[in-house]
Amino acid sequence: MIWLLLGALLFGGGALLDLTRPQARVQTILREVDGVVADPGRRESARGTAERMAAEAETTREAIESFVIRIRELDAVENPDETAYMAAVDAVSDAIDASERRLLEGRMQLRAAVTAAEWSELMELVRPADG
Amino acid sequence: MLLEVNFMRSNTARPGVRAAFLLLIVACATAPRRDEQVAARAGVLRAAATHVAPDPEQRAELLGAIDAMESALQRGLIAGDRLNRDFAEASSDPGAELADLQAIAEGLAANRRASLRDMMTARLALRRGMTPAQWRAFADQLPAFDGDLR
Repeated sequence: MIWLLLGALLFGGGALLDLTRPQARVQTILREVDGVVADPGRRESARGTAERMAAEAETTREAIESFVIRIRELDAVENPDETAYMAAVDAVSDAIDASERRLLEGRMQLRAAVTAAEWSELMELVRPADG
Repeated sequence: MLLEVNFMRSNTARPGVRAAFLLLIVACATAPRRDEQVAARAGVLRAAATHVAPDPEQRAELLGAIDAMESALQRGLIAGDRLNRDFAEASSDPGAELADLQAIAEGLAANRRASLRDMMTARLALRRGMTPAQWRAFADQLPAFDGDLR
């Protein structure tokens, strides 16, 4: 259930553009940016930003993975300490929060690097079908 | 939750297995009806708890903890969906200010943290309501998601 909760809150949310499914959506931008952004200079800037965002999205995945391992360690203890579990929850939450803030900053940088039309096109590409 | 207990029982978490596990998180989370998925999984937990706790009083305690887990998750999903829609609407404006988007993102983060804490509290209550032998039997009642983790 923990994993379902994390997964749903992090990767679900069909309407959200780039916070709840950062890996998939940043990868979409990376894949499409060359075809969308016409100017070579802006394209290079946008691609660089998207690559940094992709690396940042990966830290979210790593934070969850570390959390999974930590909970497994705590589960192996005979008398589990609630404080330790909550510390693990706070640690993964802090890591994800920080990563999301950096992703949001990256999003703004990406927005600044492209034209309004290019931005609209990119957003359409990352918008889920149900969004 | 099926994944949780089986992964928990693994003594080793090889990178490939962990990667597969995380992929399953994504696969689960992208199911079209997450509320139904959550309800179905809670049902499996309830069946397992019922199996390992023949005493009615203990069983009621365990089922209450599972109810609390499910409620925490459903509340988090409902609030998260609302915030997601708010973010999508704000984000669609090309002139959206970072501060405005950050405010919504902070709401999402607070919701995620609160939901996770609530669910962890309920999960601990579930575990503490069982003996170690029952906890192991409870885990055994849940189907493996990956034979390598057995």
